[in-house]
Amino acid sequence: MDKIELARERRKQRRLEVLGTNNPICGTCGESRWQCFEQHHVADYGRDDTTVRECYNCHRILSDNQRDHPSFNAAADPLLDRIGHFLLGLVDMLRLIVDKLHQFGMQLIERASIETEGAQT
Amino acid sequence: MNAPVISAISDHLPIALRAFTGPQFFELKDVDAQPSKAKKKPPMSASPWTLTFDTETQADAGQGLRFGGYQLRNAGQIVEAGLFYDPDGVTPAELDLLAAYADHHCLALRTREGFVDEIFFARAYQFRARVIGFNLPFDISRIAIRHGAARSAADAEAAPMRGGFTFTLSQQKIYPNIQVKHLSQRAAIIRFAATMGQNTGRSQRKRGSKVSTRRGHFIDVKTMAAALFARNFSLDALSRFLAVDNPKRDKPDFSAPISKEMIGYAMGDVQATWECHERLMARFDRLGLSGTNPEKIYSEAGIGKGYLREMGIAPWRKLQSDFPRHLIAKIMGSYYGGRSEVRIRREIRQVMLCDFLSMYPTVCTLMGLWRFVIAQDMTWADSTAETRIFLDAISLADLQDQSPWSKLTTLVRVVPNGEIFPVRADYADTGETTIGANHLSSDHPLWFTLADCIAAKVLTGRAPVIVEAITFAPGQVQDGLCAINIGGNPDYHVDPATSDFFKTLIELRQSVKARQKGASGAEWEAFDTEQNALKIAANSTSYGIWVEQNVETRPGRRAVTVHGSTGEPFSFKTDKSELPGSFFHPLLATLITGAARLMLAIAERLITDEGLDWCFCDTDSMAIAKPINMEGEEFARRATRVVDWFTPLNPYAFHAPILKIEEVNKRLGGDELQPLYCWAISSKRYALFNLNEDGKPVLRKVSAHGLGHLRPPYDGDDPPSDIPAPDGTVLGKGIRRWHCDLWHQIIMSALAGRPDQVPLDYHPALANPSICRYAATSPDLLRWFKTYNADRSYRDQVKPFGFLLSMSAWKDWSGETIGRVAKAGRRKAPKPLKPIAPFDTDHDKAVKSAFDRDSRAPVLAEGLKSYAQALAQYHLQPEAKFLNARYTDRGTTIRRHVHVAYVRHIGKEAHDWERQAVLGLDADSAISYGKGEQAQTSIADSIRALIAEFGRASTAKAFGLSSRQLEAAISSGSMRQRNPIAHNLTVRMPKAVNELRRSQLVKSAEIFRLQAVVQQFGLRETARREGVDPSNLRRYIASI
Ligand SMILES: [Zn+2]
Ligand SMILES: [Zn+2]
Repeated sequence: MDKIELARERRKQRRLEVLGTNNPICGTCGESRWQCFEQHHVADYGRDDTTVRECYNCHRILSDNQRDHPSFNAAADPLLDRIGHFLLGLVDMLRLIVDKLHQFGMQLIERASIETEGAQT
Repeated sequence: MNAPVISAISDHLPIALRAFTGPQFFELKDVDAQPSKAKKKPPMSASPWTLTFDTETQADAGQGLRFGGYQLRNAGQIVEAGLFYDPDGVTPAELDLLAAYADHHCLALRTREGFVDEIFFARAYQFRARVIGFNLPFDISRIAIRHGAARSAADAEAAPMRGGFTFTLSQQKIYPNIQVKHLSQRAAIIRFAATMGQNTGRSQRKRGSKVSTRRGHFIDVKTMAAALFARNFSLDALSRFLAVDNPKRDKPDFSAPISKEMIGYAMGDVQATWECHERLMARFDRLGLSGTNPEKIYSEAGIGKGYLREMGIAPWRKLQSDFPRHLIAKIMGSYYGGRSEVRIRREIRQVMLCDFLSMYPTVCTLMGLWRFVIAQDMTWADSTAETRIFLDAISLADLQDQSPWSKLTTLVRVVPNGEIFPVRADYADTGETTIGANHLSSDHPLWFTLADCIAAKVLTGRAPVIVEAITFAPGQVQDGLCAINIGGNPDYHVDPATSDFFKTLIELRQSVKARQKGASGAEWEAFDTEQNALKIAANSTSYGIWVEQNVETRPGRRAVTVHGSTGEPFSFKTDKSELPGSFFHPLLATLITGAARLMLAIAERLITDEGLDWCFCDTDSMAIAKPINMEGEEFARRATRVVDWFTPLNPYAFHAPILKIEEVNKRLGGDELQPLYCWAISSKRYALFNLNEDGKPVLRKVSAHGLGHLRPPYDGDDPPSDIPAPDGTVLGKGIRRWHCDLWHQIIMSALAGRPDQVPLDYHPALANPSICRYAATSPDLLRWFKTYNADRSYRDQVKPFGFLLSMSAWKDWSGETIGRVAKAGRRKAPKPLKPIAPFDTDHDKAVKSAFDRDSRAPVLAEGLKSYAQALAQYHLQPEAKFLNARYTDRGTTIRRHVHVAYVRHIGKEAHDWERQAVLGLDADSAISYGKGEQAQTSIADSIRALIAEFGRASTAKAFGLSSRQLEAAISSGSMRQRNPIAHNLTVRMPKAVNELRRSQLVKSAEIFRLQAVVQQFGLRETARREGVDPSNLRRYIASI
């Protein structure tokens, strides 16, 4: 192991430790390279401690979506406010998953037709 | 049932009862349900990286590092294998050899420092690798550069590392120390200490994510194997047992200069350790304990807890933390361990050794204890009236039916009046308590299990008088239980909510063993692994975890509340704390051992009724003995009737006897019975043998009790010339050749009709000083070497987990210790010497450096006991808990009749037997909580009773006081706790009572003699002959 490999492995293990897993997988797209992960606060940062691991790309999208959520209201009931934002965050994630599933379904159908074509010839 | 005669009171003794303690105002905390703080992240499991390493050391006192081997692996693939060495531990020639070897075998070669910094820390630590070794504490101590006592907050409720060591391995400040705390001969807690400034890295702050201290991932293969197989292993035994590809090779001579063979051996050790690790992990994975971290398993109990967690079972003390303390006190007060006794002592008898099928799981099943395990809580109710009727009505025949056994979840308060009960007392006056089934009389009521009362009735024919009874019942079934597959096998599916776990396990194991019988080769192995997994599951959940108490010694004394079963709670200052294990549920343990004692009592009764005898019993086994004049066939018939009696009690779905005739009764290598003989000395100290055509003994089973702590005086390859080698089935599991030879010699003497004289000259090595070896497992042991270590370099010092040797000094008849180097000047009363020495494989050399561990004065070799001297009384070991069981007594032991002088409350009984055997019983190793306030008045009362019986003058004399002093001491007001006079009286009580009784016996014997003389010669003549006044003589004779 040279110096560079050593340093990279150290970064990797440190990163995985922070992520809290030895096998990170993005909950929305399936990305598994350890370098591209962040913890995403479902109900937005500061509102609730619940986090999920998301890859950078998906996290960008989710964070961007969060900008459209209702803004901070100091007078609101904190518990209800938190639950509400949590649900909105959840919906954002489900949307990504729905898109992904749709894509996957279409791919399978396409592949199925190619395979039968191949079998006929 | 006809009542045997109950003997007169033979002893007036304090008895010891287990108490429950807690810090004052301490509430049982529910660690998982603290809403205040944010949830802590679960600790991360190790990365796929592993570091396996092993060290080779000098064979002298310091056991300093010479060199070592390691393998760094990623996902099982070797990334780097290499050697490391201590530059101060090798010669230039040896270093050249290491370099050449490394070069030839493509190994890295590093200095100790290089290995520690570059491999241990820069890789293993930073990659979150698992660190693997065999007996890791020793190896960690070898590669360290400094050590100290592990620090822990003095006021912490539970400080896991208290009493442990801290090791510094690296000069680099960024790398943490390692803390190691010895738990047992088999296990230690090992972890990284926190480093300065950890967890504050810039990148982490930025991402707002905190990581807890890296504790590391250490696996000691020795610990894992012991937990999985409930046995001690050496690395070579383990690698053969697990049949790994590259087992540990024969050990070359390590005192010689480093050779190629030695290096090859060291690298082979690393490989064998790794392969054992892989096998053990595969075994562990098959248990299906996905919620249990193997790094946190320190014993079989850890596996048992893993099973319970896997089934979603919540600990009782968490669910019912408000359970009344006074009830826990009653439960603990009725707790006694298994029963182990010798009945026919030092007499050759033909026996049939029988043992109960899985005793603890069986009684758990019969009593339905699983329902308690899965219950949300337990309820209790007064059942005095019903229990009186039940106990009154129950007969031996009723106990053959399973239904009464389910009613045994009852504790009773009785006033013992000579019935047989488990009695825990310091019979030998050594400061150590043992339990004996003895006749008991008490002026005050005591708590026992209902099973013990039935046993008393079975044995003495009469039931004790019940003052009060409490019956416990399980509450509703817990929520969230889930079914599991034992060993991951869907055939072994257990649903904790609907089936009895203990029962199911035993049934599954039986079926696997039946299938195993017809199998061979790999299939046989697979069945064996499965039946072993089932056995572990059963053993680890059916007893120990319910009464687990972890003892810690705190830096200072503080008050705890002692809840005893015989009075009000009281406050007591102690430096010991007992922390209940997570599944602590003492009622289960109390009931289990109680029912097991009832089984043995029934067996004893049946044996007596059949006109048979027994030689010994031990927890779940009994050696039935043939009366001298009975025919062998008649004996076998009657013994079989005893065995068969129990079969209706089989609670399982398969047909099998519950009491079984053990394999050892069969001919070696055959299936037919062969007469088996027994020679028993004391509890757990016995040998079983056949007699060959020449009438010579052929050993079948021997115990190493009282021998295991001694270093073998000679090795198995240098046996005595005239003693035949024992059969292979006798050796193993802690039994060594020299143990067999000693037993052979004891039996030969017995056969020759001189059992008191066992010549211990059959091997020249028996004349050498006897030596025990022990690892320096805690800072207080290491302190004895302070002077020795003072002017030595680290590598030459005696280090943690290195061996130390201890010897025993002998005394001449006047009590003067021989061999002490006399100090010039005045003589002082000699204190017993406690010789110790730094380790050396060469025992002659070690003996030369022996010194007294307290004064550090050297001890001469002539003052040390030889093996022959140390073993001189091995064959005469008294069974102090019984009468007719002193050294040279022979034959049937007689139960004592103990009258309770007062009750002592104690904590967990001696838990580190090995350490005590080697280093001597420390006064503080047994946990004692004193007597409580009530007991004080009872002492005053007892003394008043003695005065009434023996007169004031004799009583005072027996206590070493004047009559006036005694009167002042017992007058009210001065008997408060910690009053030194009261304390003294308490301590002297047992001796004083025995002395008074003895002198009374002497006196009555004297009077009988005088009466006889008076009858023959008349009063006047007798008075003249004795030189006394006739009227005084008359009064004297009349005084009894
Ligand atoms: Zn993604
Ligand atoms: Zn986010």
